[in-house]
Amino acid sequence: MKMEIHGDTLKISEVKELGAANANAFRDVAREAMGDERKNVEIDLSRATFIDSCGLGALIALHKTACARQGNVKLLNPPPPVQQILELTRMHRIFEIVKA
Amino acid sequence: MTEKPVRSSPAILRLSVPCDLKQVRTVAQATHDFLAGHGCTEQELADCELTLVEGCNNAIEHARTSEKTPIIVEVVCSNSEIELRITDNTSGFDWPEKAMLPKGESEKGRGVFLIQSLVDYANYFRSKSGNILLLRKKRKGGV
Repeated sequence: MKMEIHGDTLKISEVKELGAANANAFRDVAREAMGDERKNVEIDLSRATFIDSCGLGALIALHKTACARQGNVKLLNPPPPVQQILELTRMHRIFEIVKA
Repeated sequence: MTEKPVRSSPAILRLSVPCDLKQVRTVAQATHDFLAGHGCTEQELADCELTLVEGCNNAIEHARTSEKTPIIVEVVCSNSEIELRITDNTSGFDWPEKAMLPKGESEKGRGVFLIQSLVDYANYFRSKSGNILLLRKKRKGGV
């Protein structure tokens, strides 16, 4: 996983899997990288091959942190299997999903 | 002349999973490879992988310290159906007949909803000798 700071946005990329084994660590590392100043998060999911309900929970946790700062979380280029899970669980109504 | 569908004995995979969330993906990958080797579609593979993970995660998360014994995963793949059986020795949990999605910003509570959404049959049998999560998914073009 790679993280970069661009102004008030934390950009996360190279996320391969987001499941019970790593979801809490993902959330904690991302929150730490947000610090007190970043209010937006962009997560490039183009390389994600798997997401489960715990992974969704981690994304929602970041969404809540961002919203508390009047920011948002964008999910970039989720592949079809991940997109299907986002839609099935209505997450596409919570997150802004951006496709290139 | 109509060809009769070919029926063969179902293939069976049996695995033991340590009661540790970090081990679940390994078993899911082994299941994925097993089902792929028996011609399952990408959609069937993705659905079975996720339901298996959610089922194992539930069993592990509901295990008390004294209940952390291995979980048994059995995968039965026939021409018409995939059956997943996840057996644990925990005190278990109440299985909802129809799980609903939690409120939008809840960080938990989507696992059983996903399981029930992605397979054709899902039921959870509790007993003192162990609990079995039984999942069945019909195969596309199954006979």
